[in-house]
Amino acid sequence: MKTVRTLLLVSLTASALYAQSPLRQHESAALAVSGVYRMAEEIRRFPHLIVMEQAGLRFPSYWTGSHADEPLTFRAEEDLLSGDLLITHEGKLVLELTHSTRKHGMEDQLPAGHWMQNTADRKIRFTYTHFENGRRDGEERGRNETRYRVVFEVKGTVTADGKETPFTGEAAVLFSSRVPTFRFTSKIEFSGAGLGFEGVQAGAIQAHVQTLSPTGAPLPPPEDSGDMLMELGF
Amino acid sequence: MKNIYRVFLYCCVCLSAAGLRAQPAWIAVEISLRNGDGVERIEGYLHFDRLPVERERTGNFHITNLVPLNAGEIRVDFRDADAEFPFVLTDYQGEHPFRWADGYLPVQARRSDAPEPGSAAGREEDLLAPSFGMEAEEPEESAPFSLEVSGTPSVSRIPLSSVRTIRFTPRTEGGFRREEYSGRFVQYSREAKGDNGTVRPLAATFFGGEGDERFTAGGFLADGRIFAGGTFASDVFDAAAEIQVLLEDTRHADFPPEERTDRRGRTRTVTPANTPLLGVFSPDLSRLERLYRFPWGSGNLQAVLADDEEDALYVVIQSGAAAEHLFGQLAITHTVENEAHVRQVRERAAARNEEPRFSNDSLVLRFAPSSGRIEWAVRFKHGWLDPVLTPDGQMMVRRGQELFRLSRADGRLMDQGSVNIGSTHTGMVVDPRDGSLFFGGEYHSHTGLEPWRCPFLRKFSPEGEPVWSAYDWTGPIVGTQFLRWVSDSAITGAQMDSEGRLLLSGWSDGGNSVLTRQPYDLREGIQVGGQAGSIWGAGVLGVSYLIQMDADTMEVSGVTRFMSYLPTSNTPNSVSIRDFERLDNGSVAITGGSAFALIETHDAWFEPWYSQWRTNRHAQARGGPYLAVYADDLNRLRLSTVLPGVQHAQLASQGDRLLVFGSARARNSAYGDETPTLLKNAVQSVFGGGETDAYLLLVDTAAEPRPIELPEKTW
Repeated sequence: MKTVRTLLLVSLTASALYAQSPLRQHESAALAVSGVYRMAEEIRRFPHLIVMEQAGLRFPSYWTGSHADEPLTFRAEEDLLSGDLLITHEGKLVLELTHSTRKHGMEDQLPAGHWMQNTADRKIRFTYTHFENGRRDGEERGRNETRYRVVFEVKGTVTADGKETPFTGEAAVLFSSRVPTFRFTSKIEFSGAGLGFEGVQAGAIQAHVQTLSPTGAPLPPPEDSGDMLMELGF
Repeated sequence: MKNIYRVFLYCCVCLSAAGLRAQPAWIAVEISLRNGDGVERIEGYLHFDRLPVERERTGNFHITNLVPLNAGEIRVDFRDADAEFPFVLTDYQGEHPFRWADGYLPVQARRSDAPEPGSAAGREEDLLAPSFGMEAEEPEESAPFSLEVSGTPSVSRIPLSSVRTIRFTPRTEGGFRREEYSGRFVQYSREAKGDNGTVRPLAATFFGGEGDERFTAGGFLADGRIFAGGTFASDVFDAAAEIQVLLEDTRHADFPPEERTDRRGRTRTVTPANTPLLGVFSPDLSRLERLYRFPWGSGNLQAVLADDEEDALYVVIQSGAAAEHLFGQLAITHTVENEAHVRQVRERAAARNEEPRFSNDSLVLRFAPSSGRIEWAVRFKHGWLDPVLTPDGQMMVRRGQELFRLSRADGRLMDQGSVNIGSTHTGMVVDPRDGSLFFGGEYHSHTGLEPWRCPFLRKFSPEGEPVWSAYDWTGPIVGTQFLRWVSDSAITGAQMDSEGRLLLSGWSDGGNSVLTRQPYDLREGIQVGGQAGSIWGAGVLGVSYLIQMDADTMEVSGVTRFMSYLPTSNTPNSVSIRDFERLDNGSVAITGGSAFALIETHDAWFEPWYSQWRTNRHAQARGGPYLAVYADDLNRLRLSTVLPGVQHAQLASQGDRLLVFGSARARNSAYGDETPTLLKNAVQSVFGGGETDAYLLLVDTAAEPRPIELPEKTW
């Protein structure tokens, strides 16, 4: 009888632990999110699009370019305390702005309008250095894949013509379950004065950033993802 | 499993596409033909795309137009052995005389009833042709030939000389089938009621002789008279007015036609005798009042601008073979040199070890059309000119990137500057409020991404300083993953009105055009309207747009699309806008060319398809040159009509009057329609010859309404 009670207790405990295992809740998301990306390996010549807007200026400005060769790693694992998915990163996301539209005569009418001249020579870079407080924020189910949405608070710098200014904002990253890729959208803000702009263009600039990753390499699942029953010796 | 499904789907798509592409080019027929001294009747299938015929009129008989709904409704009959065109094809559009071209007709015979040669039965059956009887002259006997009759798909060739009748029969198991019209073509044709005939032709006339003539300039003088001009190589025509030669004439015989070969070995004929010719017509286009010609060899007429208030035309000529004679005859006010061009040409010639070849000089002159007096002339060295009249009462002339401001009164050079613009489709357009300049066109994006052809519209101050750029998106901006507005597009025309509204014409090769977005922000779309503007289902084609834009803010308030629609597949078809004109009453006229199946309004000038269709189920749609007039909302069509025979049409207006000028053939030649070119109260009512005559058409856009009564539908 005692043996039966012990077995019953162990099996109920194991079942409860099994049901509550965060890996079962977030396993697929964690696998999709975790990956190493060599962003410069993107085969599309112009993988990103940036649209800048600024108070006091009627028209937005449009920019595109490529990724710098900086590895970027996202890793997702269970937070043992909260049961949430904990997402960390290593590396930076660096977008190089090399092309813009040819809006003759409108250099003073567009955010960073003077960058339209000799764009590639100015070494304009948007560098995302911090992806903080990442949290899972829903998913999209496609026919053959699920895309997991993760939102971050982001920080970084904008550099151009040897000047640098910080930015802050938000980013939403859509990770594919089928192939290790992600789609990145972000809204950030930085100061035009920090880049040497004057007049109305010296004010705060809002940038809408979109980019696509190349195919990355998946990361192995976390070490503590074993079967709880196995760990109990059953 | 997924891969197997994909392969299956792929095969289905390929087979369907193959089926569509390989729609068999055969048609079921019953043929009666002479074989030796008898008549043979066969049933089978004819294999061809077009019947090998010769006709008085252009065009031949395409297989798609020969399929009847019922047997015998389309047929070929032998009529008259003595006629130049002894055979007649009868279809739903009437009778079409022709003769067979030499050769053979490929037929797959399935059954043959060949009586014994010389038998009576054979001779009686030879009475199939109504005009052929025992007393009539018989066609020559054809040499006997054997026709293979087989159930297997083998094709014999019938000598055309032996064919007597052909009855086309419908088939349901294959081959071409006649399809009923449906879809948007029928719907929009039904809905395009027009405007009760308030847009009507007042007068239309040819103007020309045996050459190929064309008016390239036209409009209204301040007093309402009509002027038209072009470059002519001959003045031998029944002009009903004496030609006044300006200045001392040259001998026409001194400028014979020449054959010239370019670097690529292509040969063309040039006519050094080319010279500008200007006509002045009465306000109702019923009389030719004055006719002026420059000396032979003076060159090509580039532009003619009419002064709003004075009896004056500003004429721009690019000089030709008799340039030095022309310059010697004129009292040149001054000459504008072009040292940059000379330097550039000399450097290029030296690098290629060639003789330098400079561009021809151009002339701007002020001309009084009532007296024929040339009041002043300015010579521009080595360049093609783009002139406009400016709101400050002067005129601006652009030569490349140089700007010159001239006094209208005496041609004095008042100012000069520059503008950073390359090639442009629209030329220089001036804002009548402040003299700002607009240039529109396209450039090519060398980014490896679509689109290749990218539109631009640029505004400059009167001094040539850039103010703003509209569109001007390059390949990497609209070709990226995020912005797929990848249809090739261009700005093709621009006009300003006195209220600061820009009206643009545009073109694209598909529906994903940046012209449907705000020109400053691709994230903002614009609702595209127009009575025949739906584009769903389109492939690659020519799409035309009218775009309303604020000249100060570049804000687009409306976009109108004008399409035609294939009536059996319900897919959009191409329409081009060659020229457009906003009238004082707010209407906008457009002209150009339409692919098959133009949407015609019920009050079109030639019985529109929708009216014909109500009594003839198989009425054929039209295409080709057209004139359309939108109401001021740029949505409703007041008129849409074919303009048979008209080519290179351009528009000008004064008040409610619209002038169409260009060239015209004797009759239409589009999609089997051979309607004669419209003439009314014509100064010259007989086609002069050559490929085209110059052509003028005067239109009243505010005529008294005449309600249109459509015929009762009879089927």
